[in-house]
Amino acid sequence: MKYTKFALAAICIAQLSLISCRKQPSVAEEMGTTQSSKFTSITPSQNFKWATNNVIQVQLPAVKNDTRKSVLKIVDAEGRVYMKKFHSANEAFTASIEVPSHIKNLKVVFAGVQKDFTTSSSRVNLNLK
Amino acid sequence: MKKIYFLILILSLAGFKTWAQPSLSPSNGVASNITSNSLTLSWTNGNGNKRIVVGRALGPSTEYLANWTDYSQVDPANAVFGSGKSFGQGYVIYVGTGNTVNVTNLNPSTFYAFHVYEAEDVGEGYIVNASYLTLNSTTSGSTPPPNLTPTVGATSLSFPVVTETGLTLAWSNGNGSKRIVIANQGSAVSTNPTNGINYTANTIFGEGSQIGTGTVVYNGTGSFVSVTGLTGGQTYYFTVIEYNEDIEGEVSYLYGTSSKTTGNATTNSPVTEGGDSDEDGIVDADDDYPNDANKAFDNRHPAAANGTLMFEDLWPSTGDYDFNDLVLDYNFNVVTNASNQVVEAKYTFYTKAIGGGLHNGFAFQLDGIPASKIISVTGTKTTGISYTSMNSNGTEAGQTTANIVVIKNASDLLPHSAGFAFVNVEADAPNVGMDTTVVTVKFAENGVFAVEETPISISDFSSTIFNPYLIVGQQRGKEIHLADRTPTALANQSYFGQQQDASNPSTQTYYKTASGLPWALNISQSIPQAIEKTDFTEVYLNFANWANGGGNTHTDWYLDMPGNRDNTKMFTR
Repeated sequence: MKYTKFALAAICIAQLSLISCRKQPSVAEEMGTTQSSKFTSITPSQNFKWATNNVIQVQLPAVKNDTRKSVLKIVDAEGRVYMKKFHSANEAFTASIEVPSHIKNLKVVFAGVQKDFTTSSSRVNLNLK
Repeated sequence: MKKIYFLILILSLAGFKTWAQPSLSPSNGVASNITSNSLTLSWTNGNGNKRIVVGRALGPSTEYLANWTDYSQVDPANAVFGSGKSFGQGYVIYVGTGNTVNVTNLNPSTFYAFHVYEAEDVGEGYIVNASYLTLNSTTSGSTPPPNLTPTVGATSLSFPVVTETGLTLAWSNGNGSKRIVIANQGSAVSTNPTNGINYTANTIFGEGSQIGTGTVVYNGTGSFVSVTGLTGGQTYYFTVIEYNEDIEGEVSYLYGTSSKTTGNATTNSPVTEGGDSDEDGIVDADDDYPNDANKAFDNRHPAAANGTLMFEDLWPSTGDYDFNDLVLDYNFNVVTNASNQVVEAKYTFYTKAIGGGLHNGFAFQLDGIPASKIISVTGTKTTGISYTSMNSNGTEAGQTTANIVVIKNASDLLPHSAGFAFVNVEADAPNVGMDTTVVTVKFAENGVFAVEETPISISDFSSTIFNPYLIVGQQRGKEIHLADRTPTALANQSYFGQQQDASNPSTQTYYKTASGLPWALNISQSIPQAIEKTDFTEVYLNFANWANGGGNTHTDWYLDMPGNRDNTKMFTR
């Protein structure tokens, strides 16, 4: 019995020492009230998008009487692929892609044709002829 | 010599001329000089350099000019009605710089609708103002002939010959003097022909007159036609419709549901150059899944590798703006089949830092995607979750669109080092690694979709529908989304407007302070987290410049480039 009590006491002491080693985070500790925040001095415009991606709507009008069918890719200069699909030239297609804001140029590659466009506009209309 | 240089300069500048869409449409339209077979249309020009007029008998054009119009779409124009380019079940009447056109070859006592577009001819096509002027008029003269409609439709449609690029269809004639055959790829013919219009047929698929999404491949007195120009491995639908034509060319179709005969056939799979092991129509070289006919393409986001999600978790109160209370890297891959339908999406999350004391959950919504379109969700870390419940397919119950709870409690995923309150954010703390969670959302299983009639097209599954959020302290209604992303149906909106939050559902403003500051950031590539209690702007030195500049400057603030970062204030071990 003595041994049991001793063991229990030892476990309690060990547990207490472990817990006391670990800092207990509090909500107050996380809040910025204890320090001035440069972040709060930011004055974004009312409609500012807190996004490092630009959303671009890519419109590909149908090319009438064009029977080409092939894989279509939207890629950047490094070869990164932003969209890939099987495409029929005589069918219109519209899709939105997200592109990191530091990427300035993209291209559509389809059936041996390459159409370059910049990411400065939120909407591009490309003729695949 | 100077003059020559000047001339060259002028010519060079002319080469860089930019063209604008006309902002003014034609106006003040009038139809005059109306006879039984002609009329004159007049209007006041807008501010383009040309006008395009299209017209149709018995109703308005079913097709509209796009902002960009190729010459071939409206060429040739002809004021002799029926002689110009077919367009929207009517014809192109006029393309020119004027403000009037005399239209001839019209039928007596017949209603005609004309659309007048303002266009800018830019040398390669037209930039068109989509707002058109409508001019309606009815010709004078006697009433049209009595009802000519046949009473017995064609029957017994069959496909005696089918190849990779063509097929022959045959049928038994009804009691019309002639019949047309309309063909459509991928779905049944859904639009009927219009009485009064005699359509042009072409046995090359797609080259005849258009009726809805279908095209006319036959118009005549016979009982079979061989159609070419088809794509291998695709299903084509056909409808045969009887009609009569009187001596003046007036036509009347028998297109009641029980009167027309319909059928479909699938062309033979193509023999492709370079091989197509799974015979899904995508050659192996282009196929990301060359041995799986139910999958064809990967669409990864971010395209580069991983992005980073960073949260402050004291919402609706602001915190210390170190944006490290929960930090996850992520990427996802939307897998489509050869028909560009989404069959699966695989989301990978790397929980890499916890700089807050709250035990938070993490989830995401697929904006606009009904949960019913999902067959299964696997790989989530939600065992024993009690603050919400799941549908049988693994999506969250009680939602109006698909929500996937990824992590019940992020604090369970990473060990705390002895002596440290947080994980992977304190300057002298060891790096305990990160947890990887891979969630697979299936929309189809073995080629069968959850909602077979309406699979999701890749065009409707943009990366922008990914709407991640934190569940604060496992209180289900307390969500923190990226700025201006919509809360889920289970969000407790009573938090909106509390403390520093200035969310306003009526203006679609969410999760921002009154001064517009967010509680969460989504970075398009993986970046290190800030050391605990370090203001984010002191770590990413051009972040404030980017935000204050409306996102127009320092667009690469997150890249590891000179002047962008203070590496001593970020957790980089």
